[in-house]
Amino acid sequence: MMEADKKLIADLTPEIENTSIKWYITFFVFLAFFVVGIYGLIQQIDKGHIVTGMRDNVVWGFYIVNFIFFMGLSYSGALISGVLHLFHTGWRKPIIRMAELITVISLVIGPFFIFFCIGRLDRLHYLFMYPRIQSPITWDVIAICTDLVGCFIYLYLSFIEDFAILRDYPDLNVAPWKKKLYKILSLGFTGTEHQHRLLRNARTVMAAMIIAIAIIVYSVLAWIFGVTLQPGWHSTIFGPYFVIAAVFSGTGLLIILMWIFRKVYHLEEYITKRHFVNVGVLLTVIAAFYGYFTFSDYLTKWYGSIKMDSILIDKLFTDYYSLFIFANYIGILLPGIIIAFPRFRTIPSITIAAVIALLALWVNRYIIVIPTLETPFLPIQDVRTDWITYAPTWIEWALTFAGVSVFAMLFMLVSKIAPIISISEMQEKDKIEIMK
Amino acid sequence: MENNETGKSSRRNFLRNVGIGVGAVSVAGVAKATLFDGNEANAKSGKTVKLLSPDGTLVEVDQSDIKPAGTDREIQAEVKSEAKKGLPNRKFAMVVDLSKCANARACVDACQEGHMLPKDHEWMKIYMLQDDNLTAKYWFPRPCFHCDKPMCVSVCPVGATYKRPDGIVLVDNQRCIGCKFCMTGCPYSARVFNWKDPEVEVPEDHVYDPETNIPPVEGTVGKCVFCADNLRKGVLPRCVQACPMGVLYFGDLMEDTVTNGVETVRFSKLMTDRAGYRYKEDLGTLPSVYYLPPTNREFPVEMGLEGADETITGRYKNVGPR
Amino acid sequence: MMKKAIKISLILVGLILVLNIKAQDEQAVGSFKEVVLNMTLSEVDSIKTVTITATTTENGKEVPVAGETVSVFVPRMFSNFPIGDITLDDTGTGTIEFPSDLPGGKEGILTIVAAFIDNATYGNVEKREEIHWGLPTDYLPTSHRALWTTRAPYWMIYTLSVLLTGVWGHYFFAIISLIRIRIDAKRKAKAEYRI
Repeated sequence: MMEADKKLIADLTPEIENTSIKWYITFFVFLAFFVVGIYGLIQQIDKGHIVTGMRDNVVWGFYIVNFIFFMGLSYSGALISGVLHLFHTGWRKPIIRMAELITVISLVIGPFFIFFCIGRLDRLHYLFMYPRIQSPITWDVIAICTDLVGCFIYLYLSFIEDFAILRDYPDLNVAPWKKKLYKILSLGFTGTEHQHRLLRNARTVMAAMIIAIAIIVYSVLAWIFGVTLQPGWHSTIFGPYFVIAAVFSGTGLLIILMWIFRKVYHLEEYITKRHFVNVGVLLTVIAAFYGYFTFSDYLTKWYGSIKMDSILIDKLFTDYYSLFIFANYIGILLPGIIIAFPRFRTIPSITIAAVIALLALWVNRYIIVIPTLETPFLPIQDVRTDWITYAPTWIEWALTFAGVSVFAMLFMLVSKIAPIISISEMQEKDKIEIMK
Repeated sequence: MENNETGKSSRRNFLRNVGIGVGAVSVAGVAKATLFDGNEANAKSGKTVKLLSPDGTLVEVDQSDIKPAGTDREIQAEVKSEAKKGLPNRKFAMVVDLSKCANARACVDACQEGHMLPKDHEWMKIYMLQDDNLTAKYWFPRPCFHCDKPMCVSVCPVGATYKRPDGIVLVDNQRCIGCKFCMTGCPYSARVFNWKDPEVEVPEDHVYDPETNIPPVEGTVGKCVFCADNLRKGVLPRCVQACPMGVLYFGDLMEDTVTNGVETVRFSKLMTDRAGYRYKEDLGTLPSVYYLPPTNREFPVEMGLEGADETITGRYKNVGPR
Repeated sequence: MMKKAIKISLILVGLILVLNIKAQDEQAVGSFKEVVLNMTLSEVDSIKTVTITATTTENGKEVPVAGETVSVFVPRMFSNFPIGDITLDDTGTGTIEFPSDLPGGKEGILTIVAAFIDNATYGNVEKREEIHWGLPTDYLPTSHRALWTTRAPYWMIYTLSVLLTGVWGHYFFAIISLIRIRIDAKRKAKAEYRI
């Protein structure tokens, strides 16, 4: 019999039991965005990729930017539940589940953006039938598949105890199919010493794996760009740079979700200012690293006189000036300032800092991918403006928002099945505090 | 322009005949045996066909005994396997004489016609380059360089593009998934993508052959193939034949000979005498296209803009140093 | 008798005239004169020389062809690589030096052709010879392992295998733990049920 503190259950399960009108409205708004995106996708499949803004030089646009962005978000789970798990940090317990959910959901969404970018969707299986292991895309396929499986296993490991608690809680007011689901998914877990030990060992092993895999996945993604000869991409720092940027974006999203769920499900007692400050400090430290890597990359490009690097930097500071400043100055300095000074640290301000950081990182991906493609070795000599510069069409915007909507919808759906804060984790924490 | 019959259907017939020949030899063998045995295996139609078998013997076979060599799939596989093997003991290269190019664009037109390309697909592209403010502008025709260390081949995740032993890099449009990694991998922007349905009429019994890469397929990548189908017949690529100025030379480096259709010269001599070089040699991709510097030009660069369409001349408005 | 003789001679003359005219016509239309080209290839002190002799038959006698131009070339894949043009002297002979550094296939065999090309009198006549005068060429290796070949370099295969086995091995361990939890729970449930 799995027992849980009555108060914990009372606080953390209402969202599973009841669904408010607000939830439905929000869900259907996201669903609407999703439907618009699907309509755009159908147009694209029907008329061909000519309906996007991609042309012969800028062959990778919004879709690849979104792909890198969503894959990057998946790093938050690796950091919070992986790294901090291995360090046995106590304060992280309320936010572990959210972090892991971000990881899994964004890992599921990311590859879809690759599918949108592929010209022949009917031949997608060739990636598995005829793989060439010399190609960075094959490395990426293998790495993402491995990461997906690993993160699912890890997420499931963290759900088992909670499902067991929910299964055994007699006053749980949910539909019968949910009860059945808990029963099946909890594997009959009864909380014995032996079972706990098995679960703990499995989680430790998987936590270590998740960290390693996350680094590999994101480095492989970086090397898709890094191994080519294109100016701006052929940079040795890309591997570590992308990993840091991923951790940065994942942490930013975590803060945002903490704020949302805290507000919506009234979890003020569990997610306190202390959590915001701690994750915020983490954000600032990572922002510092990210800023250092960015500066290092651009300094060496700018200082040297290699023509193609100079042309690219020129383009960044003229055509892409505002985007560049936003991504690499405001996106780093603003969160840093807000969180570094205790006077500025409030829950809303930290959340705003996280929003800015997240948007800045999306723009950062954009100015890594597109300006390089607009400045090839042989100059683009054409009369058509859409072949000279990249201009995303409504379909690409629609699919971007559809991706964000799917993320939100999946999160909302999961919050109806499992508590967004891990009950079992919180219980352990309480026990330790009582014993102290 | 001799490129209406691109050879693919005649190749198919040839293969069919080869197959029939082989089949015929075996049938003839069986027929012989049955004749000696004295029993008639099938009902003969009485009409006979004379066929040449691959080893040179002439056989006469009853028409009812003839069957095609393989299914459509087997023929397609055979065609693709030959395309992958290439021509034995050859190493093809092209030399572009920049001192003669006047942007006539006959090469572009011949290429587009020969490969059923839509007008905005240019496998051979003409740039106007200027290396520095103080140096001269010149016309720069750029086919695919068929590099010896092709970045595009290295990054293809499904092996749709490959380098064959005779130096030519081909694209298999039945394998390409359209990820466009090869397009970002090529530093010379040599590849084009089929963003929409090219709307090309394909003949009924067309067998897809990567050596011509006809027809262009929506959602896949295309590029110059050094007219590998012409090479198989001992004929020069279409652009080389079409150039009115004799700018493009083509040949087999193993024979150390290149020709532009009018004059035939030794490749090594051409390189020494005219100081041939490769574009962006330091990228290390080892291209198979060599350039002769634009010296001793007999006409000004602007001559290439005369009489050309706005869509062409407008491209070169902002030519400057890179 | 005289009348008969005159008739016969007239017929004979007529025949001769007609035959002559016919012969002249044929000549005018385009039958070229026969010519025999001979090519000798000799090498002295590693200097290779091609000697061409051309003779034609005139009135049953062999007459040397003088003053005509003979092209000497090596046929290559797409065109003919010219060695040079020889003008035949009064004895119908001409020589030309042949380069020693032409590549010539795997065994170094070259085909040398001497030909009258679009000659007014003789049309197109050629003489071919194959000789071991070329440099043997080394052909490219057909298969090796590189980034751009079908088969990958060994170190890539090994690294990938090690990484994948390591990671999925750990996943396997985690899944085994889950199965063991299930088995343990079932056993416990059975025990409780019995009690």
